[in-house]
Amino acid sequence: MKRSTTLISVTLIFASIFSAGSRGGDALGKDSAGSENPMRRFLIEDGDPNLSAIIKHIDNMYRSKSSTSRLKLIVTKPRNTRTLTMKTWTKGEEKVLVIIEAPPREKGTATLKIEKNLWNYLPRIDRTIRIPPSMMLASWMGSDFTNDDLVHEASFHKDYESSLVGPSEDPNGWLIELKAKPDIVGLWKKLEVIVSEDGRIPLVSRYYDRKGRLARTLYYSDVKDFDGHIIPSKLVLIPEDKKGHKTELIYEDIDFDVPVPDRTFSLSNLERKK
Amino acid sequence: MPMRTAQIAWRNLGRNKKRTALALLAIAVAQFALLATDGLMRGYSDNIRLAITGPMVGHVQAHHPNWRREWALDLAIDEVDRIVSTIHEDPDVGDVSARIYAPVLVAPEEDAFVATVVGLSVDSESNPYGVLSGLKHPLERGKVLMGYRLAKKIGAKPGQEVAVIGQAADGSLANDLYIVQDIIKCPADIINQSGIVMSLQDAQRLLVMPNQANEIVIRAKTSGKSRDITRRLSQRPRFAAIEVLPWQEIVPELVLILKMSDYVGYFALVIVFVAAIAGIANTLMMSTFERVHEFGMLLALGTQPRRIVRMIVCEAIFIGILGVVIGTALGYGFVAGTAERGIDMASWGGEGQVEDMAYQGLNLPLHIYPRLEPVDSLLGLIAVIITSMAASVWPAWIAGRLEPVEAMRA
Repeated sequence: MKRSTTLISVTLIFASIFSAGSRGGDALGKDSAGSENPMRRFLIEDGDPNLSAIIKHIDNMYRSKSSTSRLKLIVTKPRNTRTLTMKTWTKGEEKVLVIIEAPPREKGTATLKIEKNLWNYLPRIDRTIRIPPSMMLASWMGSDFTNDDLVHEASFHKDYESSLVGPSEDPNGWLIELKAKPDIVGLWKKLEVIVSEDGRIPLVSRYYDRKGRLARTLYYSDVKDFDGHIIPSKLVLIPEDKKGHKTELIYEDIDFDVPVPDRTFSLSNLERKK
Repeated sequence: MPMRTAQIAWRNLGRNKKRTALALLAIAVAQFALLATDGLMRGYSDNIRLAITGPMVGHVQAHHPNWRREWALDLAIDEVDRIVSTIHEDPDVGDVSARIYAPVLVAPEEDAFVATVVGLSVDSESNPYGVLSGLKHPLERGKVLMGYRLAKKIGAKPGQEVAVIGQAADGSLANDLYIVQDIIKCPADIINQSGIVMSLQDAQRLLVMPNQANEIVIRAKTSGKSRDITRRLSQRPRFAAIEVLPWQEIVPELVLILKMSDYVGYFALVIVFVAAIAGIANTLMMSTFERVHEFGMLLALGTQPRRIVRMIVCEAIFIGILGVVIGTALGYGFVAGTAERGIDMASWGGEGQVEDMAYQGLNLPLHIYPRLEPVDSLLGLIAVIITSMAASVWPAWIAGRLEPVEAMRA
């Protein structure tokens, strides 16, 4: 169960990261590629961060109409560490396909997300299994991700009321507080996001649960330029309540806005790919 | 030769058959009620004890020291085969079963459901008190047994193929197909609710746990040896990195339930006992007071008051013993008649479909097999004789002190 939930989470990471194709082409999405002054002026106005612009910029940072990528997921637990290599395809907000390439034991295992449905294809037994909705809403065992924040296509500017707390020193940047809007159902009551001094790159996100306790911290690092999209290529999630647990997500390659045919995201295609 | 008091007392019993029969009935019913309650209470207590030390917990368990805290699959005992052979060397050990527990998803068709793989040693679990003891055919490799509640939830039937998906001990994706051999019901509620039971070897292969297990369950040849076995095994060098615990320390909450159930049993027994004693005393006193006129005659004829007292007490003791014998025969008859097939307490609960009840993960069958110990009838015998004497001495003493003329007028 733990393994399959890992797959869910991975899929949903993509869902949340690469979704919102329609929003992919907005003013900041593409402009974020450049480092020219107009962009910087937009995020930082007269030395002060433009909060609304920064939040929208982060929201759209990873999004595009479609994408393919290769990434590495490193799951560290107190007694073992596992590394998975995966290839992904996304189209719009709703369609995601992930196929594991390594290690050999799991090679060919695929996860397909279409809208709110998730399937796992298991090549060894040649079966496609639909993951029950109850598993998507529950926090998943043995993993550092919860299904909720991955299924939930969270939008900072839609779901949260943001406020600028002020400059941050560790790390250097701006500390922004995001409080969940009263009508939003979710696991998090509050988020603290530290963005770089120029407002372009998120550095740390701290997630506070419904009781206001710090539940986990997400660190962004290794900023890279992928097709003109400048994004942190490494995400490290550390849960507060599980000592010795850590999940690292490392993008090795991402191609944005490449043609991905619709048939990629079909159950029959899943089974053919074995 | 004058007749002995005891002989007279014995003859007196036959003089008023109705009165004697009534007293005998009161005593016999009391003794029967006492034994029947006792038998049921013992049966109920046995149920709980067997449910704990039988299929579920066993008498002694061995684990990786952190297993009970984390329940993580990779916290396993290595070289299980050698550990199991070492345990078998202990003179008090009966059966030894190695088990693996793993959370999984089970999918009869496309939809998956949460379940728990329970891998176990098929041979030893097929013996009496094992998880598989009620199975008609031994569990085969490549096949699984499914808990009846899980099977009902997901609509699985014997013969169906199901996919089992989970995370192996090394973190990799565990997945395989199995045939459902049978649907089972057992005292361990985890198995009824979510159990996919398979052979230890199948579970080891599925979950990448070569010669490993999460738990070793040890059943003693006779009860009461759990602490001795624990002590001896803990001292073995091979068990240096293994936690060995008697069942009382593994499930202290169930030990508490067991104690509570015993106390409730004693309480019920005391109530029945008091009611029985009161019934006997009342019947004997009434029958003695009834005969005041007769005692007056005897006194008028010159019988010594002491002899009258002796006679009445003798009668009471005879009635007491006779009553106890009849009651004991009835009590043992009831227990013997029901011990084989048991009593289905669930059927007393009305029209509901209640077949058992689960508490603290322990499924308590409501089918009770009454049982008695030899000491149980002795308690009744002694109590009834003492009561019979006490209940007759006082009226006899009053009768002996009566003025003959007054007594005859009574």
